[in-house]
Amino acid sequence: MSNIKIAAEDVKTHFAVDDDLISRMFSRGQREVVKAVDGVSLQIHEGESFGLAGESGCGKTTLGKTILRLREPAEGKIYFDGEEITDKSGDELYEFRCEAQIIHQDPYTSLNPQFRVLQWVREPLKVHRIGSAREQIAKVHNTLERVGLRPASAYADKYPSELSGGERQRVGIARAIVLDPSFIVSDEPVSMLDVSIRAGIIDLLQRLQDNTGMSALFISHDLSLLKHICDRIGVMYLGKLVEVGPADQIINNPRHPYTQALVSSTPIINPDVDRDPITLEGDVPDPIDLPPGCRFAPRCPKMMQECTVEEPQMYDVEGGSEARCILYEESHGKSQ
Amino acid sequence: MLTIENLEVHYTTDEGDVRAVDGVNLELDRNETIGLVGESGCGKTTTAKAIIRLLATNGRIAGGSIRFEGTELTALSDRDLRRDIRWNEVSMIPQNAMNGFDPVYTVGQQIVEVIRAHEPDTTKRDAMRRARDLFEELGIEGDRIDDYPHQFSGGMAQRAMVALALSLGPSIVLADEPTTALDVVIQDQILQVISDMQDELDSSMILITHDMSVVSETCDYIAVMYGGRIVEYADARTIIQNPCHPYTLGLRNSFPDITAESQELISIPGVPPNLIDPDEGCKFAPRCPFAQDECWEVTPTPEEFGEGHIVECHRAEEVDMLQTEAAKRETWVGEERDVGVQRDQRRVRPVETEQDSNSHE
Amino acid sequence: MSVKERLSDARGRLMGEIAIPSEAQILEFVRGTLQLFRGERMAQIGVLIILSFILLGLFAPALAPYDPGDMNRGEEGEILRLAGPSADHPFGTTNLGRDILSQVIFGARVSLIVGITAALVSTFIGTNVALVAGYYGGKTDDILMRVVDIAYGLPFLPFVIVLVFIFGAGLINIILVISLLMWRSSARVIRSEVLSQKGRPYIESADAIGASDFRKMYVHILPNILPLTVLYMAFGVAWAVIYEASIAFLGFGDPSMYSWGTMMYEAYATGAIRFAYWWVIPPGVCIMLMVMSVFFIGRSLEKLTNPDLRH
Repeated sequence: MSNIKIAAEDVKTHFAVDDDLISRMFSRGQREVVKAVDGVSLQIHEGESFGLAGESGCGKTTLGKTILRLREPAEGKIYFDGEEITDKSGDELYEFRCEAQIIHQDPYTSLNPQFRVLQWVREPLKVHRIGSAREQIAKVHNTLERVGLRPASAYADKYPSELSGGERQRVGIARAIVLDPSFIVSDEPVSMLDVSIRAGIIDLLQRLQDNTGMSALFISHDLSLLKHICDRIGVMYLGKLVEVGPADQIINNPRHPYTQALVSSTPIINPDVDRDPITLEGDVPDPIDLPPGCRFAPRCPKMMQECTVEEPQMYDVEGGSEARCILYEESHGKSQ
Repeated sequence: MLTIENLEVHYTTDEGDVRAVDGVNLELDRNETIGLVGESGCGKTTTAKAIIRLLATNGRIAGGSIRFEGTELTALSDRDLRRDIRWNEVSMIPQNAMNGFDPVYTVGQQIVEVIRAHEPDTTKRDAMRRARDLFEELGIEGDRIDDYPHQFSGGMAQRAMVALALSLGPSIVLADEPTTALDVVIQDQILQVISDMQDELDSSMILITHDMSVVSETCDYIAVMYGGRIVEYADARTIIQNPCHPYTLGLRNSFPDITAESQELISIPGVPPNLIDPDEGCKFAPRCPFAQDECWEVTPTPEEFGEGHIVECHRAEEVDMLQTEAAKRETWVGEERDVGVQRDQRRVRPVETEQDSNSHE
Repeated sequence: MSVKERLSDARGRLMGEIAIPSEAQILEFVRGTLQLFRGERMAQIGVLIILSFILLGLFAPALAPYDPGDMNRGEEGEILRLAGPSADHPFGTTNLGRDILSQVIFGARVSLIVGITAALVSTFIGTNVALVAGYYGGKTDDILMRVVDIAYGLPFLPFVIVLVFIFGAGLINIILVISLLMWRSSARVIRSEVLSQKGRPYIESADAIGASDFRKMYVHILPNILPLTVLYMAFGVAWAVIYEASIAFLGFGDPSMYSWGTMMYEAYATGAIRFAYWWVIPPGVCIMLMVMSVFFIGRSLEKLTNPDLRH
């Protein structure tokens, strides 16, 4: 039983709507909140590659950032290497920040345009005061080469505006790994890159994980990609996890009706394989005004009367997955 | 129905003319769907925009011909093109639906405007009714024709855009990345809707996208573009399962296949070509692991390779070798498992000569 | 290690610390700057004008044909009052026989000092207020923006006059007073830019490595709002020159200095303004030129400090 690198327990992250002075004055505690993450529990094991899937607005990015304490959770607990980090203040989080990093989605806005590559990748070392000046620069050069920017000296002086999208993303990755973290969150790391260079970045991330034993959380809406690189996948809908399990189970044998719809809607490049898309009625509803019961019920093709009564729990299903659907209540035992 | 011959489209910039489209030949028949795939900057959007003359102000058709049902589109005046061709014969679904609508008018008003601009005898009421019917067919509540564009979600707005594009029953629909910004469930619905409408209207489509899985499912034929030219063209199945051109082979390698048990994703090293002052020879040569001397010196011409299968490559006959070697990672990246990007090198030489290229080390 | 390696090692260390560009890069930057101006006729003129005024101000004692305070006498020993333009006095003389050309030249000093200093001080205040308000948000932002609102509510000239009246009309006071009100315009606009930068992922990236608030504000955001800051500084110079001239013209200027504004004030106060065009036009034209050139340069400077536009 491997160690648990990072665990989230019933984490909720809320965003207040209308946060300006006048609204605050007139609302008197009645403010509307968007429950971006509404009670998520998951565990990522050491060395594991965990994929977080779902459509836009489901809360996957917010969850990823909450785990890194880049967003404050409203409720719930977060554990890193067994230690609770939910309430730690900025200073106490110092060590954590050395260990856990993020790779952003948009290579065009995730690098400070005024920083040269060297300065940008070096900054984490400076902030954490690791090594002498010479050592820091050497480490930066070494990291640049590790991410495929060779020769490092040709890249160190460049500004982001002089680099292509793929190169910028590599710089972002370099900055994330220069502190030798043990956990990385990748937020749609290739969705803004041209298709022919995506594979190179994915390959790089996989190799880095293999070489360093890092644990990783990959956030993406692209199921084909997640199947390729992840050990386990969690599917989110409107702020909650609806299904979690081994990657091939999720893709080949989805249990939750939403996952089934998602998988069946993914276009298949193989012309010999047909798919039968499950159509969902309507659009994703407004997360502010959720009806009681299962939040997927209004669109679920398998909805039953009981679904609108109470929000279902996660139930274990065969193959090592769990699904949040009452279809699986009787035949299998309950999980958390 | 639509024949494009030797199309050349240039953009004027400070650094010189960008040859965005550099000799494209394409034929589209009735009720056919052709997919245009390629990286950004390969010229696919420019080609589509050139057909209905929606190029940016610094763009112009520098050569070639576009013939639609016998009429030479490049020779038409702007007014004639606008009146006779745009929207009612050839319409376009742009990439970002939100930007396609005027934010100060309701969506219904905009559809009505388009209908009445081309069919002036239609009354406002009839036009509104047609708009409402279209919405219903596309799965949007009819009442929403009175809503403003910002009141629509991304998926709905795109559907409204499709409604607008189809409002006059065009013969050709140019869809420019119609579902790129959308989630997969909605993407599927929209593609289905477009396909249904196509059947009903008996119209054809040119679908521009970088997503090979989408073209595999929706298109009859696929044209692979690189550096402003079509480097390979064939029916969809051939392109996916039996491609010849090294670029197509490389593209195939970089697409995750959800049905595959395990797969090695291999990327194509190097950077897109310089279209301002292109060198002689094949534009893909700098990134092609199979490039030989001839490839650097002589621009390949399109040759028919099989039934309706056109390839632009000097080494196309060696297809078996190309396919076998292209499937191997070492072909693309050499001994190092990940070559990254070689800086300051316009031409990334293939594996054997790597020692020569590192002169700045 | 060879000398070459040692040198490159030292440069590498320096580069990491302060990001000092190499010689080649400095040359490239200067050449790039000059090239940038090459394409912009207006900015070239602007630079030329400002440079001329700076030279004028710097070398005033050497360039001015007379001491600006000297009462000049004619051939028969009489004081040359209100003489029109002549060979000896190209811009004529004041009612006290003082050479106007010399006054204009010395006046450049005052205008530049006031303009640049006031611009620096007010932009400094404005930028910092913008950074703090934009970055921290919440109550801090609310309070600071209300202060800006109040500052906006004050009518500029009357308020300046009152302050000068209370504290005296020395040059330093004038600069201070102008700065204390001028910062309000830069604060608001720069704050918007701060907010826009704050939302970008690179700031989140700074969060992720545990950067301090100060670092995020001054090392990350500030360089990105610098083009805007510089632009407001340029405008600040122009406005400060106008304000100084206005204050002086209304009689509240520093009487011990010759500024273009005080010249016009004197012309007005002695009644000579009705006919002594030679007294009024030169300082007026100078003010106009100064304002124009500062504006032109400001536009080009924006391009320069933005590395995105460098290529």
